[in-house]
Amino acid sequence: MSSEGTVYDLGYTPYEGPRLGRSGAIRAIFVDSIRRSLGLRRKPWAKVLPWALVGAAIAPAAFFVTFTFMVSGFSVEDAGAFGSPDQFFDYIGTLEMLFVALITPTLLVPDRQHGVLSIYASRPVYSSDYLLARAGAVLLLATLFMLIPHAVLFFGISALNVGGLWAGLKFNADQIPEILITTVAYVVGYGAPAFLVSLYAKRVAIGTGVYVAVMFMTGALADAIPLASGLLAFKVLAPMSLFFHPMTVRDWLFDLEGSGMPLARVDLPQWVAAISIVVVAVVSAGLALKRYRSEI
Amino acid sequence: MSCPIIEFDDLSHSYGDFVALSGLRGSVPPGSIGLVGANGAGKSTLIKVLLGILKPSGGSARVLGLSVTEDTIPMRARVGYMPERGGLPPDQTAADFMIYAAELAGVPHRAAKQRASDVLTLVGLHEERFRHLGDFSTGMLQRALLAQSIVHDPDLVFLDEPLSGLDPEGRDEMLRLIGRLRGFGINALVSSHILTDIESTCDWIVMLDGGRVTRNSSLHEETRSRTVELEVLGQAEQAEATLRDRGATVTRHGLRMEVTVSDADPYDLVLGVLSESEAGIRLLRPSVTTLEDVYLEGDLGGT
Amino acid sequence: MIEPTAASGIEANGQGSVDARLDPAFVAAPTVEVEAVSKWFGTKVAVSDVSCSFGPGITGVLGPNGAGKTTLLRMITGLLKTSEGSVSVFGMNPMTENSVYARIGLVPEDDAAYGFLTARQFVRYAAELSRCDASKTSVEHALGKVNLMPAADRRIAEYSKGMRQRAKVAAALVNDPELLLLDEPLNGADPTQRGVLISLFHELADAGRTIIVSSHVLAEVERMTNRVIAILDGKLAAAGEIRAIRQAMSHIPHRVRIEVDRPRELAKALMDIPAVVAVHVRKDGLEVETEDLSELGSRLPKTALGASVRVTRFEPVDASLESVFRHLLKIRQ
Repeated sequence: MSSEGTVYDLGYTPYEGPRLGRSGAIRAIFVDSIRRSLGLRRKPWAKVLPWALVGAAIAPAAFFVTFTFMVSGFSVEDAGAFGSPDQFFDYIGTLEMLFVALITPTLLVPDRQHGVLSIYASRPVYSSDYLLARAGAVLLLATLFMLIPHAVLFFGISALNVGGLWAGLKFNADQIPEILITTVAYVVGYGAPAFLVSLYAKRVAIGTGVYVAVMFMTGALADAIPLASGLLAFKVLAPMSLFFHPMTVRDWLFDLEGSGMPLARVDLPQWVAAISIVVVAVVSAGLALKRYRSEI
Repeated sequence: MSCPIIEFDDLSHSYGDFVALSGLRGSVPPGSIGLVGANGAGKSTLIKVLLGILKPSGGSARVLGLSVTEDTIPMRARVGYMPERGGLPPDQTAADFMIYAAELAGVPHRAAKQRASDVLTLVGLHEERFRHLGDFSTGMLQRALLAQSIVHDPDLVFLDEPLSGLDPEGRDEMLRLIGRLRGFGINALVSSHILTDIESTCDWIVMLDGGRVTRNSSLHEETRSRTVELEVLGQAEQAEATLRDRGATVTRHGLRMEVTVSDADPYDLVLGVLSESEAGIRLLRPSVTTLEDVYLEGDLGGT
Repeated sequence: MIEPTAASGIEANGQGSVDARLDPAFVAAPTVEVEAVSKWFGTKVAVSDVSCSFGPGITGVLGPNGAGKTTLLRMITGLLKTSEGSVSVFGMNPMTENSVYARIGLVPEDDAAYGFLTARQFVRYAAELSRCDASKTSVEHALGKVNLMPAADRRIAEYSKGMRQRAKVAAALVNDPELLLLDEPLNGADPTQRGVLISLFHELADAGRTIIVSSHVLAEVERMTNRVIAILDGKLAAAGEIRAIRQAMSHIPHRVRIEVDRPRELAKALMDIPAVVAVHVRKDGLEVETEDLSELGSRLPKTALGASVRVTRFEPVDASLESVFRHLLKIRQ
């Protein structure tokens, strides 16, 4: 048992190289999250759904550019009948929700279900690091999911501009900030509730199912609220229509009326949607930290 | 004591009203350490505290010289853990997961690939490493679990019931692997209910009872010098009687006898008696206190 | 060819000249009889032509994972149909005769999903399932036997692994079964609980019950019983008393460690014993290889006295059940 004079087993080579510590671990979790969400390095069927959704998101953008071309050729003066970014959010908003519904439980539930958290518990990471890395991947992928189709649309329509690509870009450029911020609203607005549900779901399918059900229910809520209603109950209910909040933020940023939206129906300002999104995000983060405190 | 690998300083932990650990004090030297205790005695709590998963309610502990509360992250970079209920993702291959496990401990990517490959070979997973962990048998899973606990070349591993679910061949292999850790420069803390396993792999014992340390000392067999264990071929009763006639104290359980001689050499006496009575020997050896004897007798004095 | 005697242990299936009564795979007054049983799942043969019987007392069943051990036990309990051959329990077919269940107790390895029940409820449920006397006394008695009375009203989901095991044992005991099948019964039990359970099994066996225990912890199986059967690759690889099985492996000499004050003196004298095939001189003694352990043991006292040496250890090193099992695995390769 002395500390001098140990004979090393020649079948084993100790590791004497660099150790990256916490930052290396966080990076590893982040990369693993990306792979896991997209089904990379997993069984083939794990790739089907996420990539199908990605395809379904990019395809409309490509189609709209094509239709615009067929209608107007290279002489588009504005966004064209199909090209407006604010309308495009309507097309891919639900797809975004489904994408988030798919990848978020996949990132959180299996580690709990199969006891993999015990492995993380012996690695140089805090539970907050784990959660941040996982959440970060959701945010990145969800953002790319929205922005890549938008980029296809944006550059495509600009290329058809009557003055050429460069003129088209300059013409449409003023919409870029709105597109970006609205994307954030969608990503956080759909991502946070998905994260919340994934904290407690026992199976991936349950997580996805419950989340989608809740989102659609809040959507149904909107239709249940009568137009121009002043009842307090509805005024309280409207801010809970999670499904519509990103769309309301979009309306707010693009200066659209959006009179059918729940908040509009109860005559609440559109920025309430943004506040709701932030509140849900903060609550999710807090509950996540609490839930994982003694696990890692 | 040369550089203790674990030190407790009045360490306590409670879950609400329930006191799981109470005033643990002492240090543990390098080597292979056995952790034993009844269910509910605090073993899992202790491991969780030492890994930094739980923050102790009181007192402190150091692992490899680092505080488990203040230096949790650097400490964890140097330890490994083989949890009892296997935690492996079924949708990844063993090879893939092992690289991830190394990177999670801070090993850079290229080195991680090498380490992963090396430890998988070490634990005996060859072509199987390219199959998904969900398809692994219990024996293979346990080996993969052990592999991920040492893939980053830690200084200390915590092994919680490492032999559970393994068949006899698997148990043999796992015991052999654990026995080799010392030669790799890896200290081990093995928690197990099977005391014979602890006896064969560990040289130091920490015994917990009701959240307290009842023993924290080296595990060497304590020989009772005037007592021998004896099993005869043939007429056990006759041999027993003769030995008693010659002044020995004999206790018999079935075929096994314990013979104590206070005023002469027990071996000479036994061989003499057997030779005279034409009985043969099946077993003769000094009587030792096994770990189980120690455990069942309870508190034999800690550090 | 090993002459079959009552002491012989290696597999004894299909040997025409063997009197089945002496064959160690069978017992004189069997409770369970397994006759030429085979089971296959598709093309995989899980159990292949196994014949043996079990009677009062404890019998250990050993074998690697996936070797057919669990399949065999399930066929004995009537949970699985044989593909060929027959199983009889209390003289009846366990698959067709429901009355058999009232007389069997089963402790399966897996954790049944009864977490929401308390131990008391679970044991009563088990009693009702086997359609026996589900009276309060038998439930309390069973709980008492495994020392679960203090915790009997807490839900099983809150129990430690060892306590869940004991709940399963209590449920198996509640109908006072004549036949008990235990699959890894000590799983999760701490050292004290292990001792308590082993004593309990001895007590039940002494009272005449037939107990079949399957476990991978061979050192503990050895504490429970002398009689074992080993299943390797679906076949019966060995049966009988552990020592007799070892003795029957005559082509693998027994190794005995002898500690003695003057090793070479004793070594010289031991070489005169024909049964001794090799003597290795070590630092503090000898390691002796012998074809006949009893012969060596009988001759040793006089030999030692004759050579005027003092022997302080005579210990067979490969006669434990673990060693015997290792030898069996080697033989099969």
